[in-house]
Amino acid sequence: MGYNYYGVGGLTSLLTVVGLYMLFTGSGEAFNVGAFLESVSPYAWASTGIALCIGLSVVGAAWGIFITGSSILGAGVKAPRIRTKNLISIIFCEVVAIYGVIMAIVFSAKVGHTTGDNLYDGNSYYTGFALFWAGLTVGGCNLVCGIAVGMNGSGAALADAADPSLYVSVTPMQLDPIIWLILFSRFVKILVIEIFSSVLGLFGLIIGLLMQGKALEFGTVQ
Amino acid sequence: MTSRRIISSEKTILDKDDEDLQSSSGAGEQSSTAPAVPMDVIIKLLAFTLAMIVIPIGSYFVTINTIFSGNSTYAGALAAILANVVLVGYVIVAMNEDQSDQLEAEKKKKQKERQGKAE
Repeated sequence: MGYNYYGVGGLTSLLTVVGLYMLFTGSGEAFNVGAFLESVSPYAWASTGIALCIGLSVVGAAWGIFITGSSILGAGVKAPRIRTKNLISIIFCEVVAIYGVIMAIVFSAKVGHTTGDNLYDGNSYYTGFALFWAGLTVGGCNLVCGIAVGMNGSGAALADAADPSLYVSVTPMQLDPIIWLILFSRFVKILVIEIFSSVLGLFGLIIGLLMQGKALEFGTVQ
Repeated sequence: MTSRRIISSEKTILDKDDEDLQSSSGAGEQSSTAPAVPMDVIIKLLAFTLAMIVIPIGSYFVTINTIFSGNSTYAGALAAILANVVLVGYVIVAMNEDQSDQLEAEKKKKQKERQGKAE
């Protein structure tokens, strides 16, 4: 923790010294955030957005599988009956990674080749910024969603190991769809909170889709 | 004073293995050497993982130019929905497997009872 303070303090004082030096030597207008944003290539924004989208999503999914998997293994020592129902949480985490992959593919469809003035017109800026922030939105949502799903899955694994009757346990009466539905809802009951946390990732995905929907492909001439 | 351990001679449910819960007689039983994760469970997981990768991404590329005529928003939404469809499929498979497990357990129980009566 202390190193963080040193780092932040050092960076702040360095920036202050450099800024004051430039201000007092007549080049203060070089501190122009707008000029910086405009001079960065829209390709850089778009590519960074795509990278953040897939990267953060995979980090979230991996984190979730890491928590869930270690819990399943740890609980499996005491209750070694790993069935498909114990692995549902793993698939839940995988969905989060797939969201990131889908969005990265959708975003990358917008990145076409263009040069010269076309690269720095309004369309390109809009596409670059939209993809950057949409990627950050999707990546951040999926990161947190993956962790949430993983922690819920870990809890479900431990609960199942402690008391197997938590998952569905009723007298078998098949082939009646109504009874099947009741059984299904019972089975889903233990997964409800996990479903809620996996919906969190969908929120980010929807907003990401909406944000990139209006962005035109690079090089489109209107 | 603050952190006194709970001492009880009773075994909690956590301290009991499955065999203990089902039959308390198992003193001379052999320890099970069957693999902890059955093969069909692993195959199901791998198959659904593959489906989870192939179906959403494949549907995106198949539908984007045929059905949605280049609108990547709808194609992406469809891919996300299909990913959830695969997820629900896995939950249903898990539930059916759970039920068939119980059926087998009941059958074995009945057989044992019959054998006990015959003897």
